[in-house]
This record gives sequence, C-alpha cells and structure tokens, in this order.
Amino acid sequence: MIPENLQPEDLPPHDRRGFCGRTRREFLWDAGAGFASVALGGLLGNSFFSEQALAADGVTPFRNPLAAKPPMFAPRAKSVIFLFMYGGPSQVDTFDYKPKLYALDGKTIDVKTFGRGGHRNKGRVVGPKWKFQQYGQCGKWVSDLFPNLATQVDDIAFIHSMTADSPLHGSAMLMMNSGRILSGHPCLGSWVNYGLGSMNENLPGFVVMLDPSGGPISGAKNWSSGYMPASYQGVVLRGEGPPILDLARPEGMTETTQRRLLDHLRSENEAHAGLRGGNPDLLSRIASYELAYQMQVYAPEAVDWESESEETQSLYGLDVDRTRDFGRKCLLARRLVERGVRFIQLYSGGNHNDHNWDAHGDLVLNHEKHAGDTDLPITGLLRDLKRRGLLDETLVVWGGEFGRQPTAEYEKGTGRDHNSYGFTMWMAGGGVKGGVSVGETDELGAEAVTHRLHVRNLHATILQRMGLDPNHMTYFFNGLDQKLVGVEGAEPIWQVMA
Amino acid sequence: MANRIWQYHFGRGIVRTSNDFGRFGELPTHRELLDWLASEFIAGGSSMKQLHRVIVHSSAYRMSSAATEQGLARDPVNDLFWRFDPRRLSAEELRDSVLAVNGTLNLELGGPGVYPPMPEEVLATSSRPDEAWGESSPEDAARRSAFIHVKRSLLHPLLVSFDLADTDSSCPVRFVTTQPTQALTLLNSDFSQSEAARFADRLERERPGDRRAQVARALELVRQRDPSPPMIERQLRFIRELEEQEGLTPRKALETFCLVAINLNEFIHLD
Repeated sequence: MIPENLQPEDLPPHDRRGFCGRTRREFLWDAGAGFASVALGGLLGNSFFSEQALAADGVTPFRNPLAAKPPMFAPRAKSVIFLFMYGGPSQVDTFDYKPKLYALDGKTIDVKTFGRGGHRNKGRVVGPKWKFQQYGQCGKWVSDLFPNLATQVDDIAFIHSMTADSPLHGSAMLMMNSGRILSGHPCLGSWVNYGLGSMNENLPGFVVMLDPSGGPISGAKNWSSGYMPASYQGVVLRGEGPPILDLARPEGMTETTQRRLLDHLRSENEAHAGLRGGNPDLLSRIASYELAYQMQVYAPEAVDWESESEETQSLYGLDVDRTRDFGRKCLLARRLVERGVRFIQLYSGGNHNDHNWDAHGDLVLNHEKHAGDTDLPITGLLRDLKRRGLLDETLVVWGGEFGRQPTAEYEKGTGRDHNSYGFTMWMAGGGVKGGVSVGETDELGAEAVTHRLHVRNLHATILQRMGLDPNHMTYFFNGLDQKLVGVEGAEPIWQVMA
Repeated sequence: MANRIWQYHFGRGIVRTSNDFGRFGELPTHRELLDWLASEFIAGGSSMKQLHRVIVHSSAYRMSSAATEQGLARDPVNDLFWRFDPRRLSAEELRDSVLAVNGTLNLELGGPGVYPPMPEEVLATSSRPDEAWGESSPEDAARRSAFIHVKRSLLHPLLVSFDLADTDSSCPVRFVTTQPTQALTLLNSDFSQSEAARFADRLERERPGDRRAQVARALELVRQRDPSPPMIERQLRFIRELEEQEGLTPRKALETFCLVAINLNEFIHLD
C-alpha cells in the first residue's frame, strides 16, 4: 500500500525510477489527476483524513470518506434502490411470457439445463402456473402474480436476456452483488459510494435491509467492501428498534449525560492533541465523535416511518399483515433516497429454501408467498417516487441472482431448479425508458437467445446512469486497476436508457 | 520476514509494500538495515523472538513520536525514522487492550477458536441466525482477539469497525480509517458497556473506597504512566458532575468515567 500523506513533490530524488518513466507514486498520482484521485484516496489508508486542518473557530472539519464527490459526467440517477429477490424468481411465471410452454406441461423434452442438480439434457416441463395478461400502453404481458405491479409497466424496462456465471446461490449472489463469483470484491453499493460519496454524511451511503427470516446465504459477504476500506461496506438497517448497530445510547444514559461525557472526552482529547502538534489523526477522531452524536439524532428521524400519512402507509401496504414488512422497507427506502443515501438494497427472502424465492418444491406455494408479500409494496414505492418527482432520479432495480428452469427439478411436483442461462430483471426510473423490453429467451424460457446480457452489463448500466463510467472507474489493488465490470469491461445496456 | 516483523513494530515496513518487493513495490528506505536484519534472523536460527528483541532494543524503536518543525519540513513522511510514527491501535489490539486494562484478558494460548458475544442484530444478518455463532464461557470469551473464531460471513462488528483485514485476500497493510461508526461502537456497544463496568469492578477491588485512587489507577492503566494531579482533578470533577447534576449513582458515575477512559485518544493511539 501507499504510505501516508504523500505529494509527488515530496518524493526524494533517489526514489525516482522507471515505471513508465515515472515512479510508481507519480504514476498513481498522474493516473489520479481527474476523477481517479478518488481512487488514490482509498489507497492512502493512513492519510485518509490527514488533509484536514483545524478551522479558526477550533471546530475540526471532518473529511468523511463518504463526502460527496463529483460524478464523471452528468448523472441520470442520484440513488439506486435494488430490490433483491433472493433465491431466484422464475421468469416464465412472472414477466417472460411463454405461451407455448403451457401446452407442454408434463411432457419430457430435450432441453439443456444446469442447476444445483447438475447438467441435464432432458426435463419434464412445468407449464407456467399463472395466467398472463397484457397491461399498459406498451401491452406488456405480466402474470397474475403481480396484479399491482402490472399497472406500472409503462414505467418499467424489462431485461429478459440476463445471464450469470453460476447457477448456485452463494456464488451467484456474490456475482449479482460484486460482479464475481468469488468473495473478496467490493459490492455494487461500495463502488457507487466510492465513486460518488454520499449526499448525506449523517447516514451511511450503502444501506441494506434484510428479510425477517434472516440474511441471504453468505450474509455480510453480500454487502462487503472487499478490498476497499470498510467505509464503503453496506450498513444493515433495521426497520424496528435502533436502526443501526450501536446507534442507540446505552440503556440508562440520558442525552444530557452523554453530552456531558462527550464534552469531557473532547476536552481531554484536545488537551492530548494539543501536546502533539495537531496530529490530524487525533483531530479527526475527535471530530468523529461529534459526527457520531449527530448520527444518533439524525438516523432515527430518517427511519421514522410512522410520521408518514396514513394514506402513504397504506399505499405501501403497511395496513395489511403480509405486506407490512416489505412495505415498511420500501417506504424506508424512499425516505433514505430523499435524504441522499446512494445505494439501498432490500431483500425479499432470506434464510434458506422456501423462506426465499428458491422454489424447488412447490412453485405455487413459494411464488404466491413472495410475490404476494412484495407486489403491493413495490407498486407503492414506484407510485410514491413518481408522485414526489423522485422516480426520475432514482433507479429502481428488481431481480434475483438467477432465474429458474422451465422444467421440473424432481420426478414429481412443480419445483424448478436454478437457471443462470437466461432470466429476467427489470429497471425503472433514473434515466431508464419505460414500457420497453430488451432481449429474449428461447420459446421455453430456458436460455437467453437474442441480445444476451451478462450481470456485468447490468452493473455497467447502473454505474452509467449514476454518472460513472463503468469501464474507467478503477480502484488499484493487487497490482491491477480493478473494475466492477472486470478487466474485460462491459457495455451498458443502451436500449433501456431514456 | 524481517520486513514484516519490523512493520508490526513501526507501523510500516522498511519496504512499505510488504507483499511486493518487485517492480510495482516501493524501494526500501533502509536497504542495508533490512539486509542486516534478515542476516541476523537467519543467524539466530530464524528465531522471531530474537528478532523482536533486536528491534525493540534499537534506538529507532525507542524514539519519541514528538515531531519537530525541521523534521516535518525535511522528511514529512518519516522515511528516515527520525521519530516514531504515531498510530491507532489495530482492531485486535484495541479489544485486547480494553480487556487488559480492566483485568479480564485471558492470555491462555492455543486451542479451538472462541466466541465472544455477538450482538443479536448481527446474528440476524446470517442466513441461519440460530446456528450462526457459538457460545464461550466468559473466561474464554475474554481471550486475545487472535483466538476469536473467524467466520467469513459473520465477523465480529467491533473488529470490523476498526478495519479488521478482509478475510478473503492477503492483507499486507491494514487500512486505518476514522469513522463516526467507530465512535458509536466504542461509546454505545454492549462490549464497551460491559467492559467499562468490569473496569469499574477492578478499580473498586484494587482501590476500595478511595475515589481519587481509583481515578489515578484507571489513568495509570490506560495511559501506562502516572497521571498529573490536575488530570486527576478534572476526572473527579467530571464524576462529581455526573453524580450531582445528572443524578447518577456513584457506581454508575465511575462506570461512565471508565467508558471515557477507554475512549481516550491517548488509549486508542500509540505514540
């Protein structure tokens, strides 16, 4: 790693040696001349906060790693809400209408599939279990699983030709979240915050809300900042109780007691720092306690969904038992967007098996549950964002880590195995066209055939709409300019862009 | 090896990029010193203890961290080791130090990993919240952080907050970030509350009935030197205010003072 507090002009002459005719430090500085100076910030480690100075009034300005940074070009979206349908919703039962599949129900056909059951060349078709109807001006076919969401199709861009590298939950989750099937890489939310910072330093920039049944497989790996500093990792936000871990004052400590504690601590720390020539690390730690205090005041307000009108609450389905939990998450997501949080990820489904969309056994039971729990809340979110003028600057993304096969996994039953050869995701708002569909799977819905797209293309699209060039935003690690979209790079999906 | 051991004592290696001595790495700031340390290490039969001794006995190691204007002007990044680089304690050092000052640190070596209490909020992030984490006796839970069981999908929040190494790839040099969430952790976490209470237990045990002696003992433990009388006075005044103006019981006021003590920059930063 790079040592502290370095300016190129600080370099002693003996350190000048050949790396493209420059020292490595200069090389990094040059490379970082424009946007990528942000990248260097991440590398500097120790000196992350060293540029701070003590202001004349004695109040230390705090240079948060999440401080807002300029985008690379004019963004179309300021925030992302990623609705993660963990487990893998079935495309042919939701948004990818395959009329021929109904008649094949029960027939064994030749089809190449690859799921947890391994590679297969034949399978028994499970016909779609729901009827499809056309909606909106675009005439989009949507299954009866989403009667509410179907009314919003004119604002939605469907991507039917998604593919991913792994048909297994753990690695596919990592791929959807971090672009790789191996852990250790920063997540999409980390990249967005690394590139843009937060518009509100009193809240985390990357927020994750989980299902009441538990986290997804591999837990915190799905919101890890990997090789970037922990400042960029996702913060788990809870809809009830103290929203963030350790945010609440301990039981029995009043606000005035804590204020007195902080004042005393500050004066002791200032006396200590005074003897140490204003060491910036010490000063920024002093400042961080004040910011922590502000967060304690600010964050509970941000998640106070009860202050919303009854009408708004019912728009999100908070008055119905089954939709209350996901509805509250969607409502909180909107409140966080309003307060400048960059990346918000909501999980529908957690834990294992039928606690999420992983319908291996009874497809109808599983999907009725998860679609039923989320249809109204997601619709409410889109409507509410739109009427408040927020949809234009908020990119909403819906999907799972993969889709499901058109055929049955077992000899009996309706359960479908995983399918990363072709699946559907959708996006809305934030510079995305409504009422369009991109790409196609074959007539069984088994594999993407036209305009095949990879998870990397989806990531590239999200970064692009946020004002970041996916193929030029890099973070130097392990001898490589790392990118979310990998060394290969990826084109954004221009067809969905408004 | 010599470079890494040096790094752990000084906060940076003689070659700063300790995973990379090649073309992408940095040049050593003291090449002959590194060669000499490496030779000493080999000559000493690869004894790490021997090498630690050589390093901590050196005058470079015992240098003050105090800066001079001249020094900062001529060598701001301390290439020359003209002073000791002040640094924040690492996550593990911080936790171990809290346990050390309150007298509960268990120095037992070896054996299977231990499971200090994991906050319920963090367990809830696991896909199997009920089976995600083990349970250790209080004595085992107070063992050094190096013995905490590492589950890559469920890391201890205290350690993560203070820049624990990513568990997926080799980490030559840790990040040292300063974040408000660290302050929240050290002020509000169950860990801080319960360890501050144990710290108060220790003070009452070792200096029963004498508030001034308790405060002096606490400061001596967290700062590793005798406190000045004015510093003791300030703490006593703080405790009095907590009792008189905030209505805290004497015990609760002492615990709150202990919480301040483990939040002091002087405790968290090494110089």
